[in-house]
Amino acid sequence: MQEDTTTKTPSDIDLLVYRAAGGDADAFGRLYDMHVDRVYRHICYRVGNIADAEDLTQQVFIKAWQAIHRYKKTASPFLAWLIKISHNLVIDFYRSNRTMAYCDLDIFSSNPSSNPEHIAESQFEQQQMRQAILELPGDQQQVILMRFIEGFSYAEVAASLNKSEGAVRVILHRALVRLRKILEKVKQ
Amino acid sequence: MKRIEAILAKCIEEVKSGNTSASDCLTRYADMHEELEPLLRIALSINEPADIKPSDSFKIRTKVNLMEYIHANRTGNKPSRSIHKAVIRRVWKVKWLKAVPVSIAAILVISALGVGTAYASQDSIPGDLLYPVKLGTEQFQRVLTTDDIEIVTLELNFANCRLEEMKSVAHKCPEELSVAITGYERNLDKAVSRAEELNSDGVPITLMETLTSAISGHLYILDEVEGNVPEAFKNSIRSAEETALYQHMKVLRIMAKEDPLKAAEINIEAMQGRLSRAKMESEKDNSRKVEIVLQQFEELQRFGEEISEISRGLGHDSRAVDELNARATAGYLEALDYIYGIVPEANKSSIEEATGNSIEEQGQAVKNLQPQETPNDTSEEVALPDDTPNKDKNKPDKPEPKDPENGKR
Repeated sequence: MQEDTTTKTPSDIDLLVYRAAGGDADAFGRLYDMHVDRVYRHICYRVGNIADAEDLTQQVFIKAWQAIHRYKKTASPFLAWLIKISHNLVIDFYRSNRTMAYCDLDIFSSNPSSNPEHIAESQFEQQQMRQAILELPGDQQQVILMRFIEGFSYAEVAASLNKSEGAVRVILHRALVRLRKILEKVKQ
Repeated sequence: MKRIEAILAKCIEEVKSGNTSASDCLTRYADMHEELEPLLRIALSINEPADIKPSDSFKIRTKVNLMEYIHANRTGNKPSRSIHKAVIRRVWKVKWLKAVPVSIAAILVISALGVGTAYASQDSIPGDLLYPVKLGTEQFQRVLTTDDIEIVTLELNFANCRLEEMKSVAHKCPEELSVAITGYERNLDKAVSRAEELNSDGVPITLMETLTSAISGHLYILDEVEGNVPEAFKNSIRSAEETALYQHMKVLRIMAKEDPLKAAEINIEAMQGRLSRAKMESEKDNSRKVEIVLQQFEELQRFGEEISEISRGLGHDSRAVDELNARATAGYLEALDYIYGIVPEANKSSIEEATGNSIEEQGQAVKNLQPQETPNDTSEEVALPDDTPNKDKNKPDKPEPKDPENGKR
């Protein structure tokens, strides 16, 4: 069922987006197949538990269907638009669940050849890093997630956030400086 | 942008892509080592989460929910027919919508009860406990079908299934007819719409033939169902007939652009089918049904003209289409003459009107042929029957002008 976005050319996706924007439910279903894994992964990283990740992923696609007629093609791919919707929904989610703590989900890979001590240490560090990233303010968190977790290029991140590439690099620098401070505080 | 920001971004890219190492980068920008090193270390330690993947059951469930949501919130794209029909449709839609959450639940039921239950549900009809399971299994098949032609066939099979359900509920529980009818209209619309989309990619014309042939069969079944339901439910069946006829013409319109002669042939077969039904209903003294069937006949006849126009518009030689129409009309006139002789008095005016229109259509077809052939040739080929029940047999020579807005006379 899953269609990999890498096997589709941008024009294939553009055509599907165009058809979906015209009300073609099947085209939208194909877009869902192609992007659901990435959207889920992004949300799961941020909310850290399966139930909320599933619920929010479904909401992302419903919101996307409701808004797709307003979608305007930019330098960023369609996935970036979905990630932006996901970002807003996750913000709303935490806003309406103020008491909710970020959950820890065992989402990080570990080298199977490593010994158990190293695996535990590496996973602990990644969880700390994840918690620190989630403490970053809006734009900084978006840039780190889109660039390092989702693998978008600077140009794509810039188009998605309506900023210049230079501005994205500035935000990235600030984000890393802040991450350093957060991590240092945690270690103390 | 400051220098450090550009260098940091550059170093991250180069190290991540394997073009250089962190230490090389730090050596290259030794003057910034102190500031650069901790930031680069943090950036390089952010790992992509590995295999976070949603489960297959979540993906299927969400897709089903999404499609149901879309269809439930979609406004119909069929042309509006009348306020009366729109109201009836809305009432049905409400009833159909009740089945939507049920069909989602059916997915869960299938998971819980197993394949045996899903199999057993295939004989269920609207109103049965297992009917939502049946709809759920159909939804499953939709989700799992990716080939476009298979999707058309699948929806057509579902439409056939809804017709079988109509036959069953007509006797047992006619109040459930609206569920099957709305389902039928929806399935047929999906099949034809998908075929229409495929057409632009050069879909095989045989698929269109399969659709029209199936829909012709649907009209026959719907006639039979209508004969078996109480009076209060007949209007519902007529609505389904209208849908079938509308979709039939939609498919033929697509087909006419590729092969107008084939489209004309199929349309003529459909018209002959309507006349046969009119004969049968006349023999049963079912004057109301005769009226309705004759209206359908005339609608198809007008559509025959449209096929000719499509053919001409595309620059095809439409002579073959016009000749076929003219020849077929001679047959219709004979059939109408027979029906005229047996229908109740109340129906005679409708027959006269249909006959008048047929003569006019024939005249138009003959006229279209005239530039290519001598009048003597055509008059021999498409001679009128002697006992046509219309007084004005000379109409073909002086056709009345058409209403420019709707094409009716």
